[in-house]
Amino acid sequence: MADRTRARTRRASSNDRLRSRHRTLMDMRLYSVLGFGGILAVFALIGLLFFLRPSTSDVEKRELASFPAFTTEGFLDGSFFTDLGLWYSDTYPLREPLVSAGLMLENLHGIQPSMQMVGGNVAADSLPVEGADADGSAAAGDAAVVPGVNDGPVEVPSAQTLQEDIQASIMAGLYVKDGAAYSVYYFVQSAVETYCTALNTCADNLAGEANVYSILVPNNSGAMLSEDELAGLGGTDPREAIRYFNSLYNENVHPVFVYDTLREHNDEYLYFRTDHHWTQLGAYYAYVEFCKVKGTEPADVLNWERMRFEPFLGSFYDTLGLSEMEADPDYVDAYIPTSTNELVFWDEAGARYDWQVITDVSDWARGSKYAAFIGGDKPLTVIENPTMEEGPICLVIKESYGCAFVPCLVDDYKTVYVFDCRYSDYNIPQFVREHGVDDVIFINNMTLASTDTVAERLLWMSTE
Amino acid sequence: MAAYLAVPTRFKNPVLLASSLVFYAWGGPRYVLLICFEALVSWFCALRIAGSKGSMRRIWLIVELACLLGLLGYFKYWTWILTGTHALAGVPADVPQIVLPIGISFYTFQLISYVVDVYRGTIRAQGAYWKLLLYCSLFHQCIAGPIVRYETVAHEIEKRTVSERDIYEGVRRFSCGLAKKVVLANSCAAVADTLLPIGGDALATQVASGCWLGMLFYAFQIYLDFSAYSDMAIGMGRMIGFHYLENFDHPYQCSSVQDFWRRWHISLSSFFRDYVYIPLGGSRCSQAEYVRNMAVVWFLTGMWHGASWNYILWGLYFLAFLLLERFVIRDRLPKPVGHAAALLVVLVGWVLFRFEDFGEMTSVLAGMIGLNGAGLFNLSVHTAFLQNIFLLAVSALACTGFGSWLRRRLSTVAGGGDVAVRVVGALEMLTPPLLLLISLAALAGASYNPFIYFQF
Repeated sequence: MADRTRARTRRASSNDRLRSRHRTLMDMRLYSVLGFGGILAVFALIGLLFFLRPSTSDVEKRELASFPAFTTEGFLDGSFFTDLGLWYSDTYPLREPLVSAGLMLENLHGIQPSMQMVGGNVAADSLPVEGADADGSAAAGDAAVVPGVNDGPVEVPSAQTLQEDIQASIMAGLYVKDGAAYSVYYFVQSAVETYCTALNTCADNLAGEANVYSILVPNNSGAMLSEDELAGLGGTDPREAIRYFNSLYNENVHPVFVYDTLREHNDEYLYFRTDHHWTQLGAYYAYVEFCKVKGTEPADVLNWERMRFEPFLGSFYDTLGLSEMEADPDYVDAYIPTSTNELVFWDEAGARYDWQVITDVSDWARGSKYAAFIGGDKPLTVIENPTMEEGPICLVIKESYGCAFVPCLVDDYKTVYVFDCRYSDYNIPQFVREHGVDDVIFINNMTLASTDTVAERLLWMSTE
Repeated sequence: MAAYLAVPTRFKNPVLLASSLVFYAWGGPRYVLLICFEALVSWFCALRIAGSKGSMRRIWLIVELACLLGLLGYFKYWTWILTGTHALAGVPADVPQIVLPIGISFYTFQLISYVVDVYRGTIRAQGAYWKLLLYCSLFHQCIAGPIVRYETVAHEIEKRTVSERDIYEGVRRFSCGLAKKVVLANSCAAVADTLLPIGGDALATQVASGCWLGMLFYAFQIYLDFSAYSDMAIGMGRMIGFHYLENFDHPYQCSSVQDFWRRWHISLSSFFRDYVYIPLGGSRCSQAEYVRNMAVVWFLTGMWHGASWNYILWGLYFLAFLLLERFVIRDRLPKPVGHAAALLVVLVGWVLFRFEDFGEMTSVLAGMIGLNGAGLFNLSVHTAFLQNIFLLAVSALACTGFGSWLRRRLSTVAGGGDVAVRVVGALEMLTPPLLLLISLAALAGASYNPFIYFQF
């Protein structure tokens, strides 16, 4: 009897224990549901804090989506709601910390080899035999009709399309080695032909009035990597590609071949490792080569007053987020011209700003140090040299590679005008005549010169 | 959700219907009218079938099928058909571009299954129109499945209870599905798109290892993505008392091609089995009829997936292997070999599924056997492999039953003592909120879009 009672008591106590464990488990599950719901509620509440919503992203260097305009059509086809969703997520107040957490999560996807190739597989057009394009028209140098190039009105690419196109070209095929990224050059036949036609057109329009120079700057892989390494990357031989460009120019365009010079000096700090631009030292060697072609004595740029901005983590770092880059960042050396450090630029809205040739960007974000040069990319920048009463005038047509190059010219000219070809709407020949320009210098990175949208825009700007 | 929880039981269904329609309207309000109309036709036809006798029942069934399949055909296939006639005969001169309403393939099949079941007498016709509309528009499954049969939810639409366990399991299933979608499937998609981009010339120059690796990531992406939607639907349904049937059963653990289709998109396979294959005679007929029945089913299966020839080819490709298994192989392969062969067939099948352009498709197939002249390896593929090696491993694990097995084991361990129950309880407690936080971060991370040319 006593045994049975003890057994019953044991069973009861065992059942109690099981019930208690079950309750514990269920309680914890309840907390889980409450936690889940609580997180959703908190995030939803934060989403309602409209006054905290940002309009631009410093980290991503872009404008965030704006609140969509309501249209009946957009409402009915659902695009209004899609845009609303995009605006909500893009401007969500906690987005940046969440993005950082998301990028950390992505880093857990695998291991980062010290040597890598990212950005996908890109097919380059094959490089034609030098100068022998389909009908010889561009090489003939008469701004003749090239099918699909200038055989009809050219639709001018908008700044936004240009930016996206350029971004895609630069970030396609990145070779990463020991914490430095190298962009690979891919030849694009149609763009190269358009680019050369643009320069030929400009030079023909200005024949006898101004000299037109072409400086094509190789990507860092072309200038800095060994021949074997470069050949192993796929892509197009940049030296041959620049020679092909040059072969398509007519006699009115003066090519400045900087490729070999840069390679001769490639044990120096000519390009950044974490950014797709070159340093001012790289730009200086191109400037020396330009002076040789022009037949003038180069200024003693490297002995000008120097400012150093560090640390600099540029576009490659933004895209790749490699810890190796963060551990060994770049620095920007900038040389202040002796004649002046003043300039004026106009932004896209037409507002005028007084600025500096070399700006002290020590306090700027670590990704923005390249903006030390001529205030960055503007539709029109003007630098007046106060030490010259009379003197030559030049116009530089460039994208961001030209920013580091322009300061080298300041002491040599009475006035330096600068167009950023992506934002400027001027007609080049007309501007040259109106302002008495003597030298027109096209300086562009060769990948950008091989981008259809850039080339088409230059053709539009060069055609009267 | 808050409104649903706050209202009394009798208002729960109206709140659910309203929120489902608002959710559906988010993708384009005009198509709400379409789903309402299809539900109206089905409701009316089912009632007429239930109230008629003899040949009239068949006539109402034909009206239903003509109406719903006609609308599906118009919205999903009309542009494709006209593109074909335009290419062949130049007619019409301008091909109209018809926008595909979201979820039409899913809710059309749900409504057809409902009316056919009423016709067969296996279920009773629903008297209230709005309840039928609720069935087909339930926001959990309306957009991306599973194709829920009316009989599965008929009772729960009228009366459902939600236990504590239902809520937790629903939340857990939803958070697992969300993480599967945004952490794993989206990341696999990014790698697959980098290695095998659709459109452009780069595809033709991809090395063999790149083609295989890209397709492997695509295979993971498509399963994890699709099954994640089903997980989220099943989870959300369970939170409010609906118990939907499973739609996937770890298909990459299949032992044969036939086994794969028993485990893959079960609600679609069973739809075609019950409403096409068996009515045609199934397998209890002559060999020639069996082949015809299978051909019809696999042609339709391919076509259901999209209005393009590659989907039909994909369906017929599986038909060929299923017939091969039935008539030639006949279960004679050792299990590991059968498993490997089935996976290979499925993987190559995904090439047909991914590329609508036949040039791209053949280019990748040629690349996979090294015939595109691009070589076997390159640094780019090596980098993609190493950078995603853990993603690959976790995705492979997520395709197996390892997660459920582990949970069962832990549940057994939890019965062993007070400490064990607390440890397992803590794991149970942390899993859903953690998965939610990780998913939110992954969603935000995916929207990271640095713009290098933004003016400094």
